[in-house]
Amino acid sequence: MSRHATPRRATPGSLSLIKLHVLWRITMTRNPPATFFALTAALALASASYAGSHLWAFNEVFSNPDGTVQFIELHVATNANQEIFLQGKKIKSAATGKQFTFPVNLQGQTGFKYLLLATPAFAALPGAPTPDFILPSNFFGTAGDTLTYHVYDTWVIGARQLPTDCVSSLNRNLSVTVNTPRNYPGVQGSVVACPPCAADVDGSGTVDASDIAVLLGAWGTADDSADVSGDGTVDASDLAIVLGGWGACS
Amino acid sequence: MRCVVFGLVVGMVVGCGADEPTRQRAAPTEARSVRALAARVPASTSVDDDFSARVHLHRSQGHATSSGEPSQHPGMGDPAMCTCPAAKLVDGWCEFHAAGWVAGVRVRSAQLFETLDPHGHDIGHESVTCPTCRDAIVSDGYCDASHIGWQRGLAYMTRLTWLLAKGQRVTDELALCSSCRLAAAASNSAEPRWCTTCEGGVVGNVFFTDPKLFEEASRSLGTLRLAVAESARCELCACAMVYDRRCPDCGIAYRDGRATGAPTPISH
Repeated sequence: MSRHATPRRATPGSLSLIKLHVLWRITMTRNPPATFFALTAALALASASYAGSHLWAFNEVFSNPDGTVQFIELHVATNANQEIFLQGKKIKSAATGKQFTFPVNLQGQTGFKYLLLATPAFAALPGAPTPDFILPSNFFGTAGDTLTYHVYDTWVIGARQLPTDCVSSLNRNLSVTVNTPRNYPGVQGSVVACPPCAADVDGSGTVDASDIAVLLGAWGTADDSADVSGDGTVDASDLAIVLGGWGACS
Repeated sequence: MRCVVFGLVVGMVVGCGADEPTRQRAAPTEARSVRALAARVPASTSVDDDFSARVHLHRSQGHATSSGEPSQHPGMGDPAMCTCPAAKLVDGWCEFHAAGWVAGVRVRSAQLFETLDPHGHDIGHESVTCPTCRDAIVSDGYCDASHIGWQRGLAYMTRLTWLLAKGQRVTDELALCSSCRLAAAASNSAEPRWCTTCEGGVVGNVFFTDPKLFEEASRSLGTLRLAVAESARCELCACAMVYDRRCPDCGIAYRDGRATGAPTPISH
């Protein structure tokens, strides 16, 4: 599920009341004012460790055309460092009805951090940071959706707002930029989510005569760049694939 | 004597360092004593002192161990021992009864309790960019845009908990008449009441001297009670009620605990 987000049950920073009790018993019988002083001082010195999960908010979403490659990025926009209690909170898509429940709480400090939830196909892409949590494929709709995180955040995405060009993502301020997914440890990447056009031998974005020229130039050799079929030889099978993919790559 | 006390305090703090990885189970006798102690945590009489005391209490009891401290979050704390008395005092969670306490009102829904998040959050002010929040930090106000109330520099995540932070917890040390004490003792069900004798009002187990704050807190407590009742049907609706949001499951939007219209279909 996640390498970074692990259950947090033991609680650091707590000041045991048993210890306070011991102190109280020692001092109360002899010096009540000292007891109050000691209790107050001890409590004041105890480390603060407030926690919640209210301040996570949607920050960036991405999808390819068929919805197999998707990610949702959440972000804490302040230095609130204890927003760790995500366990049981849900992210829900109104369009698909799918929901994800955080299985565990987070560890570490959360101030200015990001959280990456993504589909398995996203995780398999080169350049993809390791998702903190895995979403099912087609988690949210590509033609408009309302995403909710518990009752804390709602993002209504209009019908034409989400780009599906395999490269661009939608940011919370509704700007469209090259995707920049970032995970909880802070690793940022970028993906190209559409499969490359195999017949586009020269990488021009269009399968045309120039690809035929490259193919013929390598005819009979084992040139990988022209061996579209991957059978070890540039031959008729490669020519058939190029002719079959004629036109612009989609 | 002072040196002894100081040494003990330092020793205690060092002894329970922030990285202490394990929990220790309290012996039964210790546990009973802890409960007794929790009920006797000193309270103060001024707003400033009360704030400090509450903050300190929260800081010491913000997270559960097995020692009988009220836990701040469901799922934490000792499921074998009731910590309700102390939890009631500091708006904590009793794992034994699977219930939390906010202003002396019992909250049975873990999700609702976590949404209320009844304790102050220390968020670095320099990192807050919301202009309304920045104003609110200075004025101890509430930012509707961010859903954050600010009181003495700490952030509270709902209007109710922010208002409660402005009042004084009713303890034995707070000089109140018997009627007010009775009202606070019956905080789980008693209606807020203004007392001319004490020149203040009790909302749950919190005392307010400012009539305007009292009125606001009374309304918020009413919202809380509605939410507690609603949580039996839909926990997310209950959460949405105290957060003035839409329930992701039912599509019902709430404002001040009331549905603002027909449910929005859960589709796009």
